[in-house]
Amino acid sequence: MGKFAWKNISKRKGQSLLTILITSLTVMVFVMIFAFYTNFRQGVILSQERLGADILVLPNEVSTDVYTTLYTAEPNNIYMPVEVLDSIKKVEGVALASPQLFIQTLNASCCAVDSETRIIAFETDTDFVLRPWFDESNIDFLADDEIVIGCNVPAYLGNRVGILGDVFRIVGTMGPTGTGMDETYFMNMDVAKRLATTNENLKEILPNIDPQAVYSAILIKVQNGYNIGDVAANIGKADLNVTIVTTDEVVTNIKTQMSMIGQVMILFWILLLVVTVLALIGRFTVLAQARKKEMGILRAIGGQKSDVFKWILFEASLLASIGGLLGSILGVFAVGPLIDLLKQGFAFSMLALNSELIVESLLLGICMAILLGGLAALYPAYKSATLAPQEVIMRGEIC
Amino acid sequence: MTACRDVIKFNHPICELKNVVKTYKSGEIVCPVNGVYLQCNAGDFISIKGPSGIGKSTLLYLVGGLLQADSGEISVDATVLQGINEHDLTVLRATRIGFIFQEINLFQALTVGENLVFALNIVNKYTKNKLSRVDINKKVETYLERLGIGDRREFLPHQLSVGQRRRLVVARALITEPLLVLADEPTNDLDDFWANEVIKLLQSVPARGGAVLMVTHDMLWAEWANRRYAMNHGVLEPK
Repeated sequence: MGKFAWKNISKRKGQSLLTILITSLTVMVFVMIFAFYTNFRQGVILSQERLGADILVLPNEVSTDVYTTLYTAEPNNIYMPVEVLDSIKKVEGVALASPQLFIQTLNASCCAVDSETRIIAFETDTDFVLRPWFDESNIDFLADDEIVIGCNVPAYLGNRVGILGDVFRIVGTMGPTGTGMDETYFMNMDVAKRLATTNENLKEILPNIDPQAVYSAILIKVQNGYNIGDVAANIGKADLNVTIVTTDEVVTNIKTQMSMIGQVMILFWILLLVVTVLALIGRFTVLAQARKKEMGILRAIGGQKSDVFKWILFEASLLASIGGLLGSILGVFAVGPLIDLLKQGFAFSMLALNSELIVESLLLGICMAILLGGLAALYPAYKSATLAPQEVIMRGEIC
Repeated sequence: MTACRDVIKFNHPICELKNVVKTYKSGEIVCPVNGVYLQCNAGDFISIKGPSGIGKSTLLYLVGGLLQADSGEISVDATVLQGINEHDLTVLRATRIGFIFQEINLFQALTVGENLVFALNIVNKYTKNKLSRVDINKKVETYLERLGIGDRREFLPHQLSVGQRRRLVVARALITEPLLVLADEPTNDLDDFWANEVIKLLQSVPARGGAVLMVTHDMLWAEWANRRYAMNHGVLEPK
């Protein structure tokens, strides 16, 4: 029956193409939704795993835009006095506290980097967040003329880049994080402070700020046995005029948003599925109608009801499989640009598509197509199998 | 293959109809078959003639188990069709009966050769001594040559002329070497030469111990049968 079904499909190209088109479009949308959502979820999990700190302390002004600060690469020039760090170190339950300073490159012809890009400066002595990433790239020490770049930062002049008038050597590229870190330069705190102090153009962007006396963020590791929430509350009691964010809270908020988006996606997906099953039932009914006479012949020459059932089911499944394969491939190709587009508009953590997810999406798309095709073909196949042979052969012939 | 006996026995009944009645309701009740008696023995070539619409095709479909009689009894190769289950009836059709339908019905997606192979493969499913692929191909070749479409083996049905399609339908019915051939206007669309060839092929069925029940409105071909009937008011009248 397999060969027979295939012959029927290949010899009736017009009808087959229409069915394949319906299936492939549905599967394409399904694969896009699946790949996007999975990618998004993986990005959040990765961020949570790699954020490193239990608590983030940011200047008060950032309170409304904490996600942009953490998850996008937008330059975010926020500052608090360096004394905050000393106060935090004294809070009970704080094991490690490491400061970071955010500055940025400029849209200026004097700089080799020709767009505004965030620079994160860190203290090599106290840092515990970036260290593991550097270890992954086998970077032991960052000299004053060395920087590390995020995985999406383009390198200029080979392994050298000009930033705010100085030339730096790129000694490593961080692995993908799905966050703004992927588009960030990392350098030593002392160097960044010197650049911010001496660069006249940057001074204009940061008026009334003494770079030597400020930090942008303090990342805190809580001592074992202490509750993160309690330590955060203790910091709050110190009245430091800062925004305190526990990373759990950040991830929970993102997960809540993700869950809502997921629900909407699932709803649309179910609607799409129902419409497609109905459309396919219609297609397969037409397919069965067009083969009515041949079904009659098959029954007359000794084909059982089950042969007719298998024939229609096989043909439908084959069409759905082809549509599924095409749709899956199209979906995988289309989801990359979709993610890039959404990355521009949302402050969410997203990774580039990995091969595992691509294979998973392809397989899932094909399986879904076969399931969908089989489901939609059941009724027409059953109806065809239960038709009395004389009904289909003799109509118009009897008398 | 299987249908015909190794030892040919003539004059034993291949199909029997006893007081068979069939009515239809299409607006008004019509009764195309109204108490038909017929015994068709091995070696018989029976023709049934009559004008169009008189019930000749209905009679063939009743004998072939494609229609159920309202009353009476039909048996094929000693199997009574009334009460037989669907599966066994299908097996009986595959292994004992060959249909030549009035309308040309072929598998449009299969080539000329594949249409015949398909029919043989179905019968192969139900038989112990299955034909090998080589035997099947040889048989297909023989029938196609015999009916003058040997060079059309790889053609699709729609690429054939009406006459060639008709001959293919005849080949499909005969290639399985059924015990009983039910032929509904088998010479339609054929010129005299090919009509003659088809009739000769049909005559080979009774010659090997089978039987043919042929419906025709053509007096000329009806004369080739050894027993001739006319259908009138739902009953068969010997001629």
